[in-house]
Amino acid sequence: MTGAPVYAYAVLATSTPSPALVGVGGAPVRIVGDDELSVAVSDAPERVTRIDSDSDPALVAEVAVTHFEVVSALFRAGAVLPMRMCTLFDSDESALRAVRAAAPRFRDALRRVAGAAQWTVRIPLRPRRDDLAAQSSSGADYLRLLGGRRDEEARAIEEARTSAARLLEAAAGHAIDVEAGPDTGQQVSATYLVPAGAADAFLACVRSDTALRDVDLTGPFPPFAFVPQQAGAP
Amino acid sequence: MTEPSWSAASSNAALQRPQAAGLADVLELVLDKGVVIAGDIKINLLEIELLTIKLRLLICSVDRAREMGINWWESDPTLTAGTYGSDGKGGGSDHELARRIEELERRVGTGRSEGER
Repeated sequence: MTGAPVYAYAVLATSTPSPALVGVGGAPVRIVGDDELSVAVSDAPERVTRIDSDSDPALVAEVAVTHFEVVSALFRAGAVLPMRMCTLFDSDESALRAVRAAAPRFRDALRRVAGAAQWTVRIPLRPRRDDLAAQSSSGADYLRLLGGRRDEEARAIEEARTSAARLLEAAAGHAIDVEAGPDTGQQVSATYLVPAGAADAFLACVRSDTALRDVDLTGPFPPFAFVPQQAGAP
Repeated sequence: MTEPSWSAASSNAALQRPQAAGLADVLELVLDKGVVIAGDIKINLLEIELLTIKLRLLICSVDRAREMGINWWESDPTLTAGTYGSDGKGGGSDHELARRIEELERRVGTGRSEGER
């Protein structure tokens, strides 16, 4: 449909339509372009085109979830470069024009992420807390235990930080790219772009450190964090 | 699987469907991420940045409060469903918001139930 604003989900390298994908506001997703470079779009409902900083967060969350679901479905079918959520164009034609304006960059990026998936590893640094009150025979005893625990915890956190850094670095050996997360003092994390062929080795590596508790691994996801941030018309 | 916090299966993992992710996971994946094409965009990117900050705060505060067992607003009729908001904006949205967040969480899967986070 031309003339109506369209919502863009991802840059792709296929013109084969994905069956029955439902986009924002229930509109069907279509693919515009050719097998070298294309873009997945759907008609944008008016309430989405009017989103601004005063909008209902629940509406924005709904758009975020739909964006994620559509991009994930496209990702299962082939290489994708997810768009920033709420990317809108005047028409199919203007979406395709914008994508083609940065064609070489997008083609390179699509080749890079083809067959790869994004994984995130999060490692908590805080040790589990025992119930000191239950172990204490008196108030003074409790305070003594509390003081001892503070030193012990600081040491445990430093040890966990060292082991975690070692694990995150080892996992990077199986990845095409890594984005380190912040060290919040509570947790360290990293996000990886892992090729399909290395996924098993990557997972085995992340699971290999039995000294670290509660290592949290999520994935495989589309490469949201591994796309060209700025591309297209100047 | 012995480790409850693993959310990925072992073999051919990269080819499998993404595991059910909670709303917080989805937002973490989507917000501030993705290709930015300058030019034809109608929504101001700055507006989106502000919104993502709001969303993060909302998700953090609701999750954290529930974790701590604070949910008094859910049973207070003056703080739920359309009884305030004489300014006409966002009036009574807390209850509706919670309902819609639950609905969204259902849509993206059951989330990780093991009590991490």
